[in-house]
This record gives sequence, C-alpha cells and structure tokens, in this order.
Amino acid sequence: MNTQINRLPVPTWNRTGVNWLDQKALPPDREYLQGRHLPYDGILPHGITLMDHLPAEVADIKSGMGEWLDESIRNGADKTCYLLGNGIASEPVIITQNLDLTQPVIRTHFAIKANPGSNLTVVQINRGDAKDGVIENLTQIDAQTDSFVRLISIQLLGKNSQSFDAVGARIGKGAKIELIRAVFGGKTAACGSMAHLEGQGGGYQQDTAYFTDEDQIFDFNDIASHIGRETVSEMHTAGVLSGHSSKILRGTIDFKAGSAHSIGHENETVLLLSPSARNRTVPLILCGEEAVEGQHAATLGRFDEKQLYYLCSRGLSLMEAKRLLVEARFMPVLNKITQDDLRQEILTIIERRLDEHEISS
Amino acid sequence: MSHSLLEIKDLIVSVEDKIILNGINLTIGSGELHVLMGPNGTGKSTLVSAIMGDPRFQIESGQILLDGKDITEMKADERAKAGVFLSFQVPEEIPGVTLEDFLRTAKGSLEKRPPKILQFKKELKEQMKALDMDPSYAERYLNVGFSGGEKKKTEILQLLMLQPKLALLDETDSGLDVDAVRTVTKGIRAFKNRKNGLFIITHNARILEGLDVDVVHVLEGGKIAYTGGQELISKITQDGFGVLGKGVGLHEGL
Amino acid sequence: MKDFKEEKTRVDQADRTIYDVKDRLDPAYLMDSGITPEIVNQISKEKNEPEWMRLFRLKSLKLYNEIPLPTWGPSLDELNMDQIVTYVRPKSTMKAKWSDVPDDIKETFERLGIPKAERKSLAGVGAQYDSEVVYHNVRAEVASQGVVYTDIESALTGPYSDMIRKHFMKLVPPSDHKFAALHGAVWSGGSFVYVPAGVSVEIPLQSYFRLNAPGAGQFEHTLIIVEEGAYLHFIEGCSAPRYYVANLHAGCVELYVGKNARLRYSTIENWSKNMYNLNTKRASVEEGGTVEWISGSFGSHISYLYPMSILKGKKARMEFTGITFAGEGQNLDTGAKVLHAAPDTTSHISTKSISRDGGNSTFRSVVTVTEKAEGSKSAVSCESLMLDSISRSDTIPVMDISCNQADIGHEAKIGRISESAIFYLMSRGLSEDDARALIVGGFAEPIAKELPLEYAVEMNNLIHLEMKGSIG
Repeated sequence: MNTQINRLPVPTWNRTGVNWLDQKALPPDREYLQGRHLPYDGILPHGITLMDHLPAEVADIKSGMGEWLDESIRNGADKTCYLLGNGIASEPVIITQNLDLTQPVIRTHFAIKANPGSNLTVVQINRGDAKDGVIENLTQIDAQTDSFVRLISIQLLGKNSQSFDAVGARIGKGAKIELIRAVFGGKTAACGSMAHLEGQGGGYQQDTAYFTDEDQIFDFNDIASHIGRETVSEMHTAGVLSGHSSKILRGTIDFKAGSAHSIGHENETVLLLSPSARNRTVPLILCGEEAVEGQHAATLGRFDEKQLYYLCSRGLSLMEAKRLLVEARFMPVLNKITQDDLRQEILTIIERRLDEHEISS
Repeated sequence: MSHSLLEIKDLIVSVEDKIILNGINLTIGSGELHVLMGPNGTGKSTLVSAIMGDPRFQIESGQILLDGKDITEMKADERAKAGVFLSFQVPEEIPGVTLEDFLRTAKGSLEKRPPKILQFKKELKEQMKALDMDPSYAERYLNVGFSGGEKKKTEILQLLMLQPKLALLDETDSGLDVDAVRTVTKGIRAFKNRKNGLFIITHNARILEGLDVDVVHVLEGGKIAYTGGQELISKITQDGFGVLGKGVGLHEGL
Repeated sequence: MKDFKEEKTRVDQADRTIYDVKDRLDPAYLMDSGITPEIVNQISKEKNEPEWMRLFRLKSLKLYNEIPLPTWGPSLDELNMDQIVTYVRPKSTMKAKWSDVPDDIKETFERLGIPKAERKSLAGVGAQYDSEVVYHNVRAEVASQGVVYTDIESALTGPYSDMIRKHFMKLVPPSDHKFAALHGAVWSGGSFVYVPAGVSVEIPLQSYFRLNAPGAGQFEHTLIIVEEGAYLHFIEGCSAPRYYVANLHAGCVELYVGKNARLRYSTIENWSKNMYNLNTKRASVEEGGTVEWISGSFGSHISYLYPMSILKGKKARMEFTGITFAGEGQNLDTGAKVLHAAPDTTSHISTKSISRDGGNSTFRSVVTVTEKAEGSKSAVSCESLMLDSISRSDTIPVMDISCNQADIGHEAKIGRISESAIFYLMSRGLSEDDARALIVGGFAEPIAKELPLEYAVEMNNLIHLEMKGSIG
C-alpha cells in the first residue's frame, strides 16, 4: 500500500515538494493505543439516527488523504459516529472534540449515510491543545439520490498539536454535498477530500478558508472526481499566510471518460502578509472526456491596489480597507456557519491575528 | 405568381423530444419578402433554425424545398451552398479568425473557388462603408468583443458579401439603437432584388421601413395561425396579437 | 523521386547506413549494455576536443549512470536505454535511406511544398545539400556586424573556446536530470551564437541551415550569448518532420541574455512520430533583459519539454507562447518553468493544447517567486481543446510563491469546440471538417502570429493536415 499522505493525483517534479505531504507534517511519532471504537453518545436531532454498523459500501469511499491514513483511522478509531439521515433533519448535528493532556490523541471515524431525498448538516469542531497532540478524523459520506449533506469542519487547535482531516464523499444522482472548512490551528494541519461525483446531475461545493501564522504548515489535497454525466463541482479556497508559515494546496478537477456535460470550477485566492511565508498552489485539471468544461483561476500575492483605492476613496483608511478585504475572503465560509457564537469566535480569531501581524504591506 | 423559392410542407420540428413546430406550411416566392411575427416562445427562431439545418432541432416529418429541391436532409453547409443564409439572433464569437479571412473562406467555399483577393478586398471595403462599419473590423476576430450592434451589422455584411438566394433574419433588429436599425435596413434594401427572397422575424416595423412586405405570418402554438398583408404589422404593433382574435396570444401586447 | 535514388546510391557508397550497423552487431558487442568511458573517450578523441571537455563528458557519464529515470511524466518504459549506445557511437553516422523514410513524412513534404533538396536534409538523409551555401551566406552577412554564428564543435577549439568553457552546461548542469547527464556525456554538434553588445541582428538565424553535421540533431548543443543591449531572433528546427532512424533526441539549449538584451527563440518541433524528445532548454536573463520563447510541439511519440527562464536581474522579463498538438500515439508533456529571482521581474506564459485521436497532451509548469523578487508579476494562462473522448488533456501547474509583494495570476480552461460555433460556420457554407479546422486554426492563431510568416503558414498547413487526418 502506498503510505504517502495527500498524494498529488498525477506527480510532477519532485523538487517542487508538492507530490505529497511534507515530511514535517507527518503524524507525530508517538505511541498509539489501539482505539476502542466508542460509538457517539450525544443527542441527535429528529431525522438523524445512529447506525450500529458501518455499511460496507460506505467504508469503501476513499478520502483525499490516501488509503494508508484512511485505513489507519478506520482500524484504530477511538470513537465512531455513524449517522443515517432520513427525511429532513430538524437541526444540525454539532460534534465538538477537545484535545487535552488527558486525551492527547483522538482518532474518530465519522460516516454519514444520507438516504434518498434526505437533508442534513453536520458540524465538526476540533479544539484544545496538548504536547504532541493529534486529532485524526475520517469522514465518509454517502449521499444517495437527491439527498443533501452539508459538512462544516472547524479546526481551532492550539499550536502544539497536529490535525488530519480526511473526507471521502460519494454523490449519487441529483444529490449535493457541501464541504465547508475553516482551518486556523495546529502546528500542522492536513486536509484531504475526495468527491466522487458518480450519479447523473450530482453537485459538489467546497469552500475553504484558512489563516496561518508563525511556523504553521498547512497541506490540502482536494479532488473532485467527475464520473457521472452532468455533474458539477465548485471548489473555492481563500487564505491568508503570515509569519514563517507555509501552505500547499493541491486542487484537482478530474473528468473521467463518460462524465459528459460536466462542469468543474476551482479558484483560489491567497494573500501573503509576511515576506517569510511560502505558498504553493497546484491546481490540476485532468481530462479524459471531450464534452466538459473545466476552469481554474488563482490569484496569489498582495492586495489588489485598485480595490484598496476604491475603498479608500469611499473614506476608509488603508488599514481599514485591508482589514475589510481580508475579512471579505472569509465570508463565503462564515456565511455558511449558521451558529452565531461560532461565527463570532472565528471572526475574533481573524481580528486577533490581524492585530498580531499588523498589516504592513 | 413568381416561382416558389422556399416551400415548407407539413413541417414538424422537435427539440429534446418536445414538439415545437407542429405542421408548418409556407411558401415564399422569389422576389418576395415575408415577415414572421408571433408572441415570444412560439417557435419563430426554431423555424428559421430548422430551415438552416441547426442540428439541435430534430425534423420529425415534413419537407423543406429550396428552388424545388428537397433540402430537408442536408447539413447546414450544404444548405448554405444551396443558397440559404441565416442572420443569427446571437452570432457566434470565433476567436483567432479574422472577419476578412472568414468571409473569404466562406465565399470561396460557396463559390467553389477562392475569390480574387483584390476584387474581394475592394468589395468588402465598399460594403463595410455602406454599413457604416469601421474598416478595422475586417482585421478583428469574428464577433469577438463586438457590441450587439456591431455583431448584427457583421451579419448583414456577410449577407451582402455572400449573396444567398434566401435570407432568414432572426430578430436582427433586437437590441439595436435607431441608427443601427436604419443601417441594417439599408443593408437589407441593398440586398433585396427580384430573384432572392427574405424571411424576417421581427417584433416591430422599424426594420421594415422602405421595404415592401408581401406577406406577414403569425406563429402561434407551433402553427401558422394567421397570414395576411403588410397592414397586419401596424395592427399588431399597436394593439398586440389579441386583435387577431381567439387563440393568438390573447393577452400579449408588445 | 529519381534524384533521391541517385542520392541513396551515393550515400550507400560513402557510408554504412544504420541498418548496416544493426546487421553487423556481433554478440560480443551486444554485451556492452550501456555507454562506457571508452566510448566517451573515443567520441572526445574523434572530435579533437580539449582535455577539459573529455573530463566533463566522463563526469557526466558517471552522473548518467547514477541518476534514475524521472518518476513523473509520460512512461519511458519502451525507450530502450541499452540501445542508446548505438546512437552515440562515433562511427554510426545517423544516415538512413530515403526509402526508409515513412510515407506520412514523405507525404507531408509534398503537401507543404518543401523543395526537394531540403526534404533530404530534413529527413536526415542528405549528405550534402544546398543549405550549406545558404548557411555560409548568412554567416557572412552577420559576421560583418561582429556576430559569431558557427558550429559549436569548431568553436570549442577556436578563439571562443574560453567563452564556451565558461558557459557550457552551466545553466543546465549534467546533474539536472538523467538526460542532461546523457547529453553532457555524448553531445555532438549544434550551434554557437555570440551577439556583441548593442548589435541588433535583423534577420532571424535558423539552425536547420546547418543540420548536415553527421549525427547532429540527436544530441546537439545550442549555446547563445546575447550581450548587453543586443537583439537576436533564433529559429530552431523547422516545421517539416525530421526523421531519424534512432529515436531518442536529448538536445540542450543554453541562452544567456545580457543586460537590456532581447532574445527571441522560436521552435516548431515536428519530429517523426517514433521520437522520444527529451530536450532541455534554459535561459538566464540579466537586468532589463527579455527572453521570448515561441514553442510549437507537433511531432514525437513522447515529449518532455519545459523551457526554463531564470530571471536573475532586476526587471528581467520572459514571455512564453506555446502550442501542443497531440494526435494518435502521441504523449506530449510540455510547458514552461520560470524562476523570479530578482525584483520587478515579469513572466507571461500562454499555452494552448489540442488533443485528438487518442493523443495525450499535458501542460506542466512551475512558477517560482523567491523572497527577493519584490514587485514581480506572473501570469499563466493555458487553454486546452479536446476534440474527442478517446484523447486526454491534463494540466499540472505549480506555483511556489515566497514573496508578499508579488502578483501571481493563473488561469486554466479546458473544453471542446462548441457545436453552435460549428453550425454557425456551416451555415455560411463551410463543410464540417473545414469548420473544425478553422476553429482549431483560430485557437492556434495567437501562436501563429508570433512566428515568421513562412513558419506560420506551415504551421497552419500542419493543423489542417492533422485535422483532416490525412497523415499518419
């Protein structure tokens, strides 16, 4: 088995260092106890029930982080949370995990099976900190015909811990999945998602926002695999880099033969606030089908002078204008977070980081 | 009566298995100008596209004859060679191909031999001038970055350069300002002669200024619901399709 | 055809053909599975090279044996590395019989209207041809401006030997990759151009004027130095296919662009479709200088081609315009690399690729912006056209940005010819084939317009030929 994590679907020059997860961001070399697969015991809203066993076809859904990590979480999970959606869920399921000294390692296996026509939202919040702490999540989603699943993943760890967030989603006929991610914490944070757009007319929307500082290393590997006809993917990533941090985003739109009349769009904006930060962006479009439309756009670097000028001409100070533009980048993600307190918490983090890194550029 | 240039017999046309035109019968004689009117969404564009051979539209049954020759099974280029021309409602943008090169290619293809360069250039220049077109447009990529008016003028320019037997104009006047419509009309007048035919889809009379309209058809429910003379146009533009009586866009005015 | 027969007879008398060589392979010789220091020494000796070059070759050979094949890119499994030795043995002159030249290439010559004399040379057949005369004429004309345009082997021992030693494989070190190492060990033939400060060379220099050197074109080395404020347009190859019996091409191009100088380097590559084209091209650009690459890839079975520009000086610029057309049996992996290593540098990469009949085209790039490159700008735009669903088209760009005062933009698009555009053209009387060819020609137009007229015409002809499937 290939043990590489966050592998670029088609490799390129090794010296670019983007073919897989950086050595420095590998899971900490520490003793892992065999997980006990403790099932979730929280309250579930109407329309969502717990499954005792994971259906085999859900367990097979590959994430974007690679088989090795998928299997290690599946086999070694401390906790499991196998959800079944039926009809329209009355409210979101919110699952918070907290790292601390008593619990420095959490490995959780989530599964969401959305029955045909169902509609549910799951919010995962990861917080806390511990020396050499690590959170590993694997979320496998099976969205059946005409269902809708929204997964919101918020990562607010401290800087002594590492996080791994693997998502695999199978999207059936007419179904839609939204993955909303806000990533702020961790010494290192690795996320890898793979959307398998299998059914005709399936849709996938992904919005990611991140803000790095100090020596953080962020590493993303997001893949939209178009298999069925008339499938649509939209992947948007917006981020700010400061300090000595570094980030890699691999974003892949993969049109398989047979995915006729599918559309894949991907875009990224990155703002570098510090001269010591490093951004690497690798946007792949792979195409084995004629009748498709794929597009990628990336804007990397500094503030747009014309936008700053426009805002200043309306009376904002340069600093205010810059703040506004940074916050604007997070809006697509923040707008999808319906919990006011959570949204406010994230806004405060952004404010604080901006204060710490006085925008000098 | 002059000999029939275009003859449509019991034409049934569908798109994605949905019947749009359900038994059209129509004859345009050479030297005639026919106008096609009707409420939105009744299939006017479908009719001219079907005559041109747009592959999106399926001809279920019926016949289209040009000069007595059956063109129903022909592809668009064969129909163009046979003498049909369509001025598109939304002309395509073709990056990398200049208007001049394109016209020369099309003309060469229609006439089965490449046009003489100098003569062609001269003619193009004259026609562009007549249409108030900036000569620099000849060097620009076909329709790329053209305004709505420029695109429509370019369609008329092609009409004049290619000299088809039958010209189908699909709302060539829509979205144009008064001056541009006047220029387009001037182009149509220059084109019209006793041998060719015109079939014009329009919502108003301006484009027809100074042109003798022979027949007006009103399309409704996939059929020609009403046929009359020039007087119909002013009636419809003033009072809407309602004046034509039951079944014709009862409440739709313009 | 008559004169070719005569030519063939003459070649036969003068030289063994590659097939003769094959026939004579004896078992003892076959045991040599690769290139040995003895072979390299022999190459060096035959060429009467200075000692440093012989040592350089040996060092490169060592690297070649150490460096593995690339772990990315099109498969090289079918490239018989053991056979490479037969391409580089000094005595095996790469001559083929005209009758062995594949029919598709012969046909292309006919259709492109290439003069017969040139066909022979383009096919790698001719031993002597008229271009030699042309080459000498060009040389005389530019020489009056102080420009040096000569073959690199003779320059190695002439008055420019120091200059060559100073620059040879300094931009592309043999340690760069396996085929750079191979090149360092066995390179042969190629051009050397030196344009003194302030000189603007008005006529483009074309390398195929002098492709007659035995074995040249397989491992040829091109070294161009354009001094401060000077200008040169250099055209490599030509649009007609060059046929070689041996199917590996590992050339190397090194371009040194001085302060405020400008170098335009154009290539229309149309190797025969059995070729492995593993070419390395690199430019370094000093302050205010500009390198412009025009690159068309039509031929080869497999290509790895990514011209790199190192923007060393403040306000250095690079522009890359490329087109790749991959048809049946072709896997063309092409693109560009740029390193922004100084403030206010700019790069602009614009590529188009077309895939049809099961062809596979990949755009691959790296844009690196270092911490020092404040105020730099880079724009990458790549568009791909898929003409059917048995072909492939992949886009694999990397952006590596370590500067917070830079503007980096990237755009990639993939799609097909719109059916409505075809209908529009057909409604004006074009046949479906012509409509498609016209649209593809229009897609390629931004490249064609960067080429000298005769090359643009030939490229358009090539596209029409490829589109009509009348070749191959």
